[in-house]
Amino acid sequence: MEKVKFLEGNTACALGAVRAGLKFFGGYPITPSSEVAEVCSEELPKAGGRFIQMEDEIASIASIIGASLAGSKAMTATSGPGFSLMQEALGMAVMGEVPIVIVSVMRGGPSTGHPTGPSQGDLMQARWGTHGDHPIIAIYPESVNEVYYEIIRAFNLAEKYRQPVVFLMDEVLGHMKESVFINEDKIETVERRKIEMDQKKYNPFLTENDIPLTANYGEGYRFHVTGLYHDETGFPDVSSENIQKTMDRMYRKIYNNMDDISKNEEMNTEDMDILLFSVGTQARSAKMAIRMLKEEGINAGLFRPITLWPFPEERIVELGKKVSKIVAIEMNKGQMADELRKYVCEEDEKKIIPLNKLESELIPPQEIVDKVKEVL
Amino acid sequence: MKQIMFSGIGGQGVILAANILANSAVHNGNYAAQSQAYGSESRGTTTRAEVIIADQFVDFPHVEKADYFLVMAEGGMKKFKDKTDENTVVIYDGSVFEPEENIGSKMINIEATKLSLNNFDRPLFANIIMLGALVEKSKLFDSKILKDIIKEKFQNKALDKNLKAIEIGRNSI
Repeated sequence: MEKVKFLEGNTACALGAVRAGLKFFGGYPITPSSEVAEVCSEELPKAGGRFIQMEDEIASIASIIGASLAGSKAMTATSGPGFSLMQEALGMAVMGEVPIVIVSVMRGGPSTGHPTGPSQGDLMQARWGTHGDHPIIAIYPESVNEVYYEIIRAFNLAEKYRQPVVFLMDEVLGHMKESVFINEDKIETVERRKIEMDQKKYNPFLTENDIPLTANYGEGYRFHVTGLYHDETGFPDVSSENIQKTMDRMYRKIYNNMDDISKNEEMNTEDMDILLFSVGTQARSAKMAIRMLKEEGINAGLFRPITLWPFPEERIVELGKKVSKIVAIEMNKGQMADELRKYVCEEDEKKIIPLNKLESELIPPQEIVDKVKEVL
Repeated sequence: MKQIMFSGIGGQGVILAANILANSAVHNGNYAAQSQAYGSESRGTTTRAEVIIADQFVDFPHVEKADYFLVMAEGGMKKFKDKTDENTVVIYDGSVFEPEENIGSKMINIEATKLSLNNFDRPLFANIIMLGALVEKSKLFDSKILKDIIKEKFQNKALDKNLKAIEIGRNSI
């Protein structure tokens, strides 16, 4: 049975998170993400969870790391300035392999920038914002309906791989209201693996398929989590051998499971004269442009990563071979255009055509149509 | 597809009006996307709210050329003129400002703020009066659906007044 609800993006994010089993929200409200906190403050207690408004974003992410280590599905929500403050502890969550979900509703930056306007300026921050090599999963949906289902997937991936997941939205998506078609048959949730082991043989960072078998804090097992490189016991081991081994394993646990983690949408990529690349809400404008171009006899395709990180390298290499031009449409100065150049530009460095605007509005379909006609 | 744009000053409730319109369209079986643009201030700056109503999923969620443009303050008229064309029907609050020029195919004056003051002693209901006028003029859907959504959003005295505001708006067309 499908139920239709008319929801704001931020509300759908909060309700989806609660449906996924969220039990702890620690956050510091910031435009344009505040409604995520607001709705969690109302809905979480009803679902047996806890909501805490922390004193700042550093404390917010620290609180969800603690809650998650103690066994709760945990989330925070923020925007650019707050996401910047969270970067250090995000690294701690990567290192401690703590399942958390960080929602970042992108607004104009840097600094306080433009609080009420959309941007896609934090795509690279989601990938490389915290220091040091590290794998990350980032998901970026395009519609309110997709927000509801994808936030559930974000929790599932976080729990399954013991990995922080960044959930990107933008101001348009966070504040837009549209229909959400809630179909319980389509919803699956992943629960954290229950550790049952001889306590004497247990160590918090013993792994299976590269994923640590960490018990929840307070369940009777030995417990130590540190930001330092560590061995199976969780205590520091900064030997050269261990540093290389640990980060290789962390990469393997994500990159060897791309079939499960990666998710893309493709439109008209079978028969196309040109490929459009766009993510999040901006991709909707690209879709309309594709329909407009079709009327003029131009076949344009769309590639939209829904899992933005890890980047869908393999598929983009394949698609890159099919076309001579790829237009990368972004509300930033070309962050994804640069990423695309890593994979598709061996011979022709003009193959990637950036269409970038920082006008705090979605780039409209007509401008995409004009750009395609100009370069084709 | 219908594109409806609302403009006013933060605090007048144009985003709420747009929200109610889009929600009603969804109850009518359509697809709708409602978005908005506003400043960092909570009140006093020019705001814009947009609703796209369609028979299928709305790709681009913003207005490109408005079919209907509801204007509740002078600033929006100039600022968003480029999102109108010769077919746009403009419904404006003539008790707040006198338009300097005619735009679109038709200019309809609904003195919503004055009507709200006369009926409720407050300007608060001007947005819903405008909404009543829009639904009566556009026939986007039956005004009963609009009232059903109002009933979901408001209670008690506020509900009665908002329902009355819808009727005042409809009767002004």
